[in-house]
Amino acid sequence: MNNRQNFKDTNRTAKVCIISASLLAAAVVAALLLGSAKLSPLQVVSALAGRQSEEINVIVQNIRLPRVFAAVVAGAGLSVAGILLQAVTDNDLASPNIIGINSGAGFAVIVVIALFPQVTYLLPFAAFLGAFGAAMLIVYTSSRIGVSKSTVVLAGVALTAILNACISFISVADTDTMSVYSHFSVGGLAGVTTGEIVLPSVLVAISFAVAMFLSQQISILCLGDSLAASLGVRVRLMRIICLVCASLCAASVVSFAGLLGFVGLVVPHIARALVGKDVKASLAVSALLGAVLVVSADMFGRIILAPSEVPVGIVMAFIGAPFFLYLLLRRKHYAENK
Amino acid sequence: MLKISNMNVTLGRKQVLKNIDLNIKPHTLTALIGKNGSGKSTLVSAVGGTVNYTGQILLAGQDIRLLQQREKAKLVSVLPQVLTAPHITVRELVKMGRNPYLDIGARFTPQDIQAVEKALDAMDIGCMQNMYLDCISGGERQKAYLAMILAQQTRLMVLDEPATYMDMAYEKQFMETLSGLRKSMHKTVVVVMHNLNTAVRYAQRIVVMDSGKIVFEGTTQECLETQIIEHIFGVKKYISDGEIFFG
Repeated sequence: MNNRQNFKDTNRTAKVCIISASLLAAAVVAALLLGSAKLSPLQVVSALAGRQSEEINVIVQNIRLPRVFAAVVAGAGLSVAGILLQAVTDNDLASPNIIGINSGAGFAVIVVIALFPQVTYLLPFAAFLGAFGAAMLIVYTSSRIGVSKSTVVLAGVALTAILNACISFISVADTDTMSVYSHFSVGGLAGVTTGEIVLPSVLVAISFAVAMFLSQQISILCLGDSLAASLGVRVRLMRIICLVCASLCAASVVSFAGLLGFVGLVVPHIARALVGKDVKASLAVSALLGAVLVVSADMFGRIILAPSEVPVGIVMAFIGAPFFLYLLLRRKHYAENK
Repeated sequence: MLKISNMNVTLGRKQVLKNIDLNIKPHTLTALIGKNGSGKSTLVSAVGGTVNYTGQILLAGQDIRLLQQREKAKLVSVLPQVLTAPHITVRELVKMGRNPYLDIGARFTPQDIQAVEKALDAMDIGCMQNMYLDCISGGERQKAYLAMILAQQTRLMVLDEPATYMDMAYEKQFMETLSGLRKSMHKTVVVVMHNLNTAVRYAQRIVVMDSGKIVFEGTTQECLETQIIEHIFGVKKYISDGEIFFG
């Protein structure tokens, strides 16, 4: 065993936060500069102040800036949801799509598409209500059984199976819904407007603040329910609060970005590998790294086939899945060395 | 210190604890012994509040069901049998022991830090405070957890088979540390034990359980005189160099 693995560098969290924040700043600047229309830094800065031609002002202020902001909120929100779900279930695979939140959103969206195909403006609301409703159903079901680590995951898996079956049934019964639904299910930020992301970003910020406030108590859950209770933690209540915060984050993001996969699963693993299991540190680092990842993936999707674009959900799957496998291989290597 | 009256616990359809009456005297080390399945860990879980029971458990004269979770955590610390090894440092673990004294969202006070340092020193693990729990041995981890409940600063400590992962030398050292803590910090300690030799060597009082009932409660000397251990465990007592052994 080498010392770097066994000992914690106490300044590490601060260093990781500074590096992550710098990466985010760099990604945001790059995302504002790069795209189908090539703009210089000077043009972007003056367009932000409204001093460029109308076309450039619109590109920067109405297209790129809301999209970058949406990517930041999506990355941070899904990562925070992932950290909270993995902390309360003590399960590294827990993420919004595993425990049924995404399926809830998907179900609500496909129902709206099938019943009211003309009112597409209802889709974000339907996605939010579906995601949050599914999460509350998991909280209710698992609280009836006993809010333990395994019941939350099992209730989520069961709900996911039921909702996915309903989605498949509707898409088979009404084939016209499939093309609209597939756009939502891939996940993307094209055409997102500032108005769409105001409420979701407020909800993500509130959930993040509550999670940071309770981080000391949430950290203790990793010791197991009995020991956490012996240390004065109200385990059941804490688990429900975390589930509600995670659901709010995920549902908010789903409402404007669709079913973005992998962020909520991969980023918490990266954050914990960098700063350990301390919930406060991993929440902060996750939020920053999640934002970096989605901003970068969205920018990559915009420029790789410009002027066409690849939805961020597809780019995330291409980047996220191999990277996740790499992390698993590294963990195996670490366990063998230990 | 701890008084249990007419306590019954039923898990599923099985009554695991039957009419338990127990009085733990202050500033003693009490060994709770019994065969597998006799109900020792369930008794610990009931005191920890993680299983439902009927009857009454009084802690320093107060019914624990009426205490707030944090208030209870200031009076009794319970170390369960199965301990996890999360990827946190020994110091982070010991700091968690201060949770009952921290308001939600509050920072550690100098008193909290002092309690953490004192606990690390008492267990002599200051040198490994920045090591990760999942990178140290089972015995060292057990010491780290004991330091955590020392930082909790409760008068009563209940430990469920703390020596499970220890070799004989480590177990001896651990029990001597526990005895030392009882004397120096005036702690009341209840330890669930499997090793009968260790129990009679270090405990002032012994509680013997069998089939969900308490069949003996008294001083170690009284326990040895009644030959209850030989009867319950089917072992024989040997004396060598003034030390008692069961085998």
